[in-house]
Amino acid sequence: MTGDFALPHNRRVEDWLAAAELDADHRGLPGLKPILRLYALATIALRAADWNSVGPSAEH
Amino acid sequence: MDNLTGLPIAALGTRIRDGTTTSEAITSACLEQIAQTNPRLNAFITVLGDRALAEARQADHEIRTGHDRGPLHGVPLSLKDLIDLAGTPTTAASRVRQGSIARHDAPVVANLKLAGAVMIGKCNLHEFAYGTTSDESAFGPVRHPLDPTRAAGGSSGGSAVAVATGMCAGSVGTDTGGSIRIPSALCGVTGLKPGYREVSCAGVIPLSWSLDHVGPIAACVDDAWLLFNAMRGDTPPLLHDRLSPLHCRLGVPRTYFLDALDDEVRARFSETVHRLRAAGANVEDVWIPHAADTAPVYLHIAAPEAAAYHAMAIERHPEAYTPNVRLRLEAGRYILAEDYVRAQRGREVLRSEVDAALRGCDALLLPTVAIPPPTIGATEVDVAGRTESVRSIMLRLTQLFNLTGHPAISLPAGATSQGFPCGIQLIGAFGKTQQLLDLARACEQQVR
Repeated sequence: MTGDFALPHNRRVEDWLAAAELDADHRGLPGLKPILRLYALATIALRAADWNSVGPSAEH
Repeated sequence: MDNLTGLPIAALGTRIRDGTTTSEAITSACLEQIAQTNPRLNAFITVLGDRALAEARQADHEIRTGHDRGPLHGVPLSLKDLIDLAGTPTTAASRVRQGSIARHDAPVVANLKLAGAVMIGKCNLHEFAYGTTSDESAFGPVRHPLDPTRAAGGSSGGSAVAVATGMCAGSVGTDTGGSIRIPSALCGVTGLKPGYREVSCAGVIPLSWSLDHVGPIAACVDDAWLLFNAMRGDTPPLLHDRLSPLHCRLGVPRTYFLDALDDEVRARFSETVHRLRAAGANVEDVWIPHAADTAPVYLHIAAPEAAAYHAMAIERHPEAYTPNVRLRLEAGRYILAEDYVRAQRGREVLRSEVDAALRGCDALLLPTVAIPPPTIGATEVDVAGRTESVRSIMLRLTQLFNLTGHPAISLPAGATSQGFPCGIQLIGAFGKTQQLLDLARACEQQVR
């Protein structure tokens, strides 16, 4: 990973994936991109789970 | 000599003690089996021939002179090569570990040695345990005993093959998402993932510290029970008489777990349920409401934990990893902390739901692996009309119980029309591994 990957604007999954794929290209690791796309789908599912809307995180 | 391999541990112990045979003869028979079989199956990375024979002769001497250490005394065992055995390499099946020699025994090994076990060798695995097929190893793929073009399952593939083919009487594996249970099921042996932290993980190279478990792979439940207790350093409690499945309550979490199964695996599982019912078991459906969230929760914990452990090594020696394991580790470094935290919350939800499902029954019952052994190197497989990634489908039925920490055991339960073994899992309440083993003994003869 390069040092400038984890920026605040990466909180949206689409932005996260775009930044991660760019970083993978920058590092000469195109083989990472299919895995990152699978991870993005998993992250969408994780964030959509209903437990995220209950408890402390919903109070903000 | 041949009839000394493949026997249950209790039978070996009886023969040693009544003078019918010796530990040295049993160890020699296992070494001969390794010499004949390992070149084809690649189950062992290190074979400790002379050292094992010396340990066996020492065991024979101790037993002859009245210093009997119990049922494992003189019994040859193997270790997944992720576990430290003093004076031998712990390779993790990786070139990254080249030249590393363990200085101490892992506590689990020390306990087995105290029980008198003979260490016969270190078994091949998926590199750093990061895979379900054992076909990505610096030492070449582990091959299935019934068809060397197929994978043995993983990551403890070498251990399962070694036990299935009588190269040792039992083995110690690790299980982070199913790595004991998956190869045990595919190779037709018994694999126990104890409850979280019931067996020490010290001296074992971690994959994901909060998901890792150490446990036995054995020929039968009695052997798994003996190994489990010895690994903990416990004096085994008295073996109960074999229970009848009569009146036991088993819960099948049908939704999600039975949604994507190979047709033959599904048919064998249905037969297993029928047999258990015929033997008197009460088998009913149970529901784990968020089961379908298991894979995303698992991924967002396992991947960054693995990446954290490997961060320095992958910066220094990326080329030393096998290509796919390297990519999997690299990808884990992109997971955001906030998603790791979300996954930990999901894990708590899942844990309480498994607890709730277990409140109405003695154990959960489900298949261990959704497919027969995949072809070595395959990345996708067709399951019930859908194309699935091999890694996802292999983990689908096991990884939940790494997240929740519940004890889980895989038992052989029939075979496909091509003869490939199928397995079932029984999941017990947390802290009730001994009771789970009792139940597994009761079910074992009904489901084989």
